[in-house]
Amino acid sequence: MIIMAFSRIFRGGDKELRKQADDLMLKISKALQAASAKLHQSAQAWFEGDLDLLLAREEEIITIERSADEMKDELVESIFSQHAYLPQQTQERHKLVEMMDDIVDAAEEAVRMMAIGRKSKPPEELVQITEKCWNSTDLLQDAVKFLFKDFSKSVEFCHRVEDVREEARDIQFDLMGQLLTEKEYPPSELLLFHGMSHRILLVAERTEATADYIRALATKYS
Amino acid sequence: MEFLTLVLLLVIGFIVAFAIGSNDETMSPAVGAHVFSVTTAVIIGGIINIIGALSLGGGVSEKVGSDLISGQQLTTTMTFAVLISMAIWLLLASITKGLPISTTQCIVGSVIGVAASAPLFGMTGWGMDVVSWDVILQILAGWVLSPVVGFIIAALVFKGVRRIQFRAQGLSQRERQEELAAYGLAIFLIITSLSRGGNDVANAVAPLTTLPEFQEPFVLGGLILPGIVIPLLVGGVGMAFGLIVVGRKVIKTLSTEVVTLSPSSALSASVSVSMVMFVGTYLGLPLSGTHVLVAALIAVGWIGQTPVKKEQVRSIIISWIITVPISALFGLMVFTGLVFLPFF
Repeated sequence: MIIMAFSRIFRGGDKELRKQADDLMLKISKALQAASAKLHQSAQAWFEGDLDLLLAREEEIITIERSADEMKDELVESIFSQHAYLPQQTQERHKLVEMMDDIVDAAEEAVRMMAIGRKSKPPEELVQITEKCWNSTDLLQDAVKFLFKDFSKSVEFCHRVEDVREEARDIQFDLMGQLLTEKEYPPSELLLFHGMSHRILLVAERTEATADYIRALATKYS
Repeated sequence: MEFLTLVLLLVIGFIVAFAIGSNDETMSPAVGAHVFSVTTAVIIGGIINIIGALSLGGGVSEKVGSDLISGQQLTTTMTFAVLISMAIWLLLASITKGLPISTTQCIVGSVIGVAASAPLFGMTGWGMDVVSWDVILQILAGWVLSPVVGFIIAALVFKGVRRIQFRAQGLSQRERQEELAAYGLAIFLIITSLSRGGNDVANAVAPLTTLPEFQEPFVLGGLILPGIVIPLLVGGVGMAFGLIVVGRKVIKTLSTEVVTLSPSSALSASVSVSMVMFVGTYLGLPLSGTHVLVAALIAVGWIGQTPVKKEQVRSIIISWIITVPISALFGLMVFTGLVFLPFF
């Protein structure tokens, strides 16, 4: 990857741009948490048969995803390209933003799948996985916040993300066992719930990958 | 001296300065840390070289390798043979592989080649006997010492810097530290370039500055300028062009093909080089700035746990080893050629 140089003769490091960048970064971390929380509400609504609420939440998550994309574009096109940070820092922040945006994307894809399969009643485990995803993004939001202020606290939150992701994976394995051993599900639902569980778990997996990256940054600089 | 001869000597001075500029690695740490792009670095370096040559070059006297040949004075032909052969090897190393080599090593090799071949042309009092092996041994010891000392000091300095850096509580503080290091590095290297410009111009045009033609002041517009300004300007411009046209290759090699640098690691390496060179000069140790810099860059890369590109380091070390014999060979060949030129 080609990295630009910091300063076109000392024109870099604009404080206003940096403040904007920090604000946007935190907003994206809030967006991913909000998308994940709404994903859980969507799953709950789906499970309870409140399909209107499910579709309303789907719309809200799509809106959050679009706004996160806009924030990402603003960061990349209007701030990172203006030499606000040193090149290595720009590269690291860029990667972090991309990873956070991927979590919102995963939440959006999961809720769209829920909307498609809304006529089938889901197993409760899917709701439980979304709850774990929500918990993990909650923790990730704190990890991002503390990355800029306190490395050790940030790392602590990152470790907790890993634990929650493991819990989510355990629930998914339980669900897999249930889907493949019990015969109450028709093949179409079996496929739907199997795919659904993977899509939902992807939120937690991407959250964990982002937490790992934050931990790597914190370790590198502390 | 005839006008055409004078112009020819200035052209030779320009070419030698061009060659020296082409192997000027001073700005490498700033490029490696992405503080400057290569283009910005060579343009700033070029301008600073000219300023350094004009402001500091006049005070630097350079006796090309006289201590190597038991205090004997090289003739004008010999001096030019040394300078031209040095220029050839510097240019070859810079253009082909972008390898940073030591100007001092080139001079040592060329002086040996010229002194050893002089008896072939009926010059008495020359040959291998006049080569001061004590001095050569001292220089050899310096070459071994330079990278070792450079490595140790840079490693210690960067370790200390990292200890301070680790006190940072979050990414914002760390980024601020790196930003300050970036500005510090830029300023530090500009000052280093200024001093280097003043010193290196002496290598290129020292024989010219003593010519009677450049002792008299001359009038330019309403200004009365000392005559020495002409060779110094030729040298400074030559170095600037060498750096801008060819030097970017050497800078790229050192900045991107040895280790990955951050502003703080690059600043630590640069400050260490200056410290080592300052103390080395004070103690009379013949250290090579190029060797110290390369070792310092490797040291900060090692402390920072970034991968060191061994293949490139191997090429650089090989170029250091072969510099003296190759320069000696070029010295012999160029001297042979010059002896048969009428005006030498």
